[in-house]
Amino acid sequence: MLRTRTGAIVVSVLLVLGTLAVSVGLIIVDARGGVQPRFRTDHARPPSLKKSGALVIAGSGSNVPITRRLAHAFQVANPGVDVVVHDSIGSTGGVRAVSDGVIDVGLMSRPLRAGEGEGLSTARYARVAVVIAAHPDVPQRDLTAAGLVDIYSGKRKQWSNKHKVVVIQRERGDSGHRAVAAAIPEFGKVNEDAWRRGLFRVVYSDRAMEAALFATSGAVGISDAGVIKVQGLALRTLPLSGVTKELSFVWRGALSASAARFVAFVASAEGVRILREGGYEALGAKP
Amino acid sequence: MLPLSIALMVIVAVSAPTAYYSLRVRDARTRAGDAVARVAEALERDAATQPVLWKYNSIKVLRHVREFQLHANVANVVVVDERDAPIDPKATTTTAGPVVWASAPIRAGTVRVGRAWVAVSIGDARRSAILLAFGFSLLGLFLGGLMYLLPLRILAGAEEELRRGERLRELSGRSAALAETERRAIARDLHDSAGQALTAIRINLQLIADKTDSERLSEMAASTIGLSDQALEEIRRSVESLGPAILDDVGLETALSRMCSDVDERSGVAVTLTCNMGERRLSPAVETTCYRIIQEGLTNIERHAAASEVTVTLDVDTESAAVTVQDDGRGFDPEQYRAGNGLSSMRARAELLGGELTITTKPGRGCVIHAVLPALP
Repeated sequence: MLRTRTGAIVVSVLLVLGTLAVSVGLIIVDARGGVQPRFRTDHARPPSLKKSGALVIAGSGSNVPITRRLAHAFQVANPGVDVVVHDSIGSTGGVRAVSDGVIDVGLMSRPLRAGEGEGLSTARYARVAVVIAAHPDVPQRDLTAAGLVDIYSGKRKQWSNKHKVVVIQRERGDSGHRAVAAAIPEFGKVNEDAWRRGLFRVVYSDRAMEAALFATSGAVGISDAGVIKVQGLALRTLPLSGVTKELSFVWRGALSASAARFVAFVASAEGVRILREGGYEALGAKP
Repeated sequence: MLPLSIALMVIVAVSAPTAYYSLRVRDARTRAGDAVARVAEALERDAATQPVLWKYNSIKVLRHVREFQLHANVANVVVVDERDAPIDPKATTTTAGPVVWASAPIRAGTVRVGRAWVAVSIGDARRSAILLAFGFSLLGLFLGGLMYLLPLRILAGAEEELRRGERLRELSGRSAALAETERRAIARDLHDSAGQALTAIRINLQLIADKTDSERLSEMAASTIGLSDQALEEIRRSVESLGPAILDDVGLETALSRMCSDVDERSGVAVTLTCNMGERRLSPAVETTCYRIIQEGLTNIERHAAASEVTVTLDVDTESAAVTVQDDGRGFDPEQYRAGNGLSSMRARAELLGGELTITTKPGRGCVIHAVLPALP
């Protein structure tokens, strides 16, 4: 067929058309991007977890251990009232869950941000020291601000026992790291830099931080004294002078009867005692 | 060649970039699938232990997964609840640039409580494919040009060779025609001058032999007459081999007619001659070759064919002269046809004049000799 000019033209046209058809077909199929997401635009609130007579509390993981201890004491003192303190969903999660009416009271370890406060009320109930938590084999007994900056900048790589320094970071926005950064601005810079460069392992919950610190030789991370003491964690703590964070309750509208009673209990003498035992400073839980 | 060259250019320019783009998109889909599986897995752990509340923790989980576990090309991650409503009210499906999406269900046990969607960018793939298209277009242009120009050169060379061959054939034809013309002229001269002179000598010697009383003189005259007869016979044979004089005397058509009649009478084979010459004249070389082909063909038929009928045809037009000699004899196997005999030399002479000679025969099927010669070589 190629011997004649017409044959050559026909073959050429067929080849070109075939190639173009296959190419265009491939591009069209690929350009469709497979399945396409189709979302509902109406944001329905999830079903409420609130039960009649029960009090549902959730929020920051920093608050959970001491709040569970307070809740237990409250239930002992008030039989017939159920108090459920859920696992950590973060301060932001607690605020949103309260806004959606899914829970009665939210737990925060940071102040409300701009835009979060509409229709919400808060009550600070405790203050706790932010500390450097470390694996038991870390020989350091205390740490200066400069020493902390050296560790988080990556300059210091070994402990005095020649074990490697392993830093466990929290996710950006963690309340403990913010509190330290507020008190030690240089730490804020090196922490942000380390986060951006991916120098250290990052975990996103208190429980994950505790597990990582306990399991990793030479590990250090930022936590609070209350969480360690209340849970009896076998971690070494290196105090940071003057660095604290405050724990708050958050709710929408008026507190329910049981919630009001619980908040009053936290501010009571028994509540204050439990807080102090746990290494917290009581703040009175006043809205 | 031009259409094929263009086809090659298009194929090279289009196929490689398309294949590359397609592979990159499929790779992006695979990565999206892997990423969404990781996201769903991370959220399923919370969903299993925290019904309802896992959604409030998902934004933090997603942020962590996106920043530390997913490929840099992940353009968007969206988690929807069991109603396909985004958990994060700020979630959007818009992305900067083209993407491919993948999704995976989030289950708490056997119940689907949500779905994760991950978009992976294919903008890089598109940009790279476009750059490749430019590069391969240039390559296609180069290869297509090569495919077009190289054969052209070869063709040009072949054409030049062909022209040279044609020129040589033309010159050979002219040379053969000139040679034939000279042979005929020499034959004529021999016949007219030497032949006639010898004939005159013979006549005079015969007169001397008749008139003399001397026995010795009479014997010498008789001996000399014998010598002149031999010389005349030699001249006649030479003239005959150089060129059939009969062509000059009576022309081709009449010469062929006499030849066919002679064969008819001599061998008993019925020879039919058809001449379509009109008033046209052929060159001396072509006339001689036509005469010789027919002569050789009839000689072979008389000797070998055992034929009963022979047809001889001569067709002359402005362009060519076609000679056909066809018999109904015993035929022969062309494979056993040996080069070097009369017809082979006729074929060579025909080709030298720019013509061709073909023989079609099979044992038991007669034989057809067909020659086509240019009217003017």
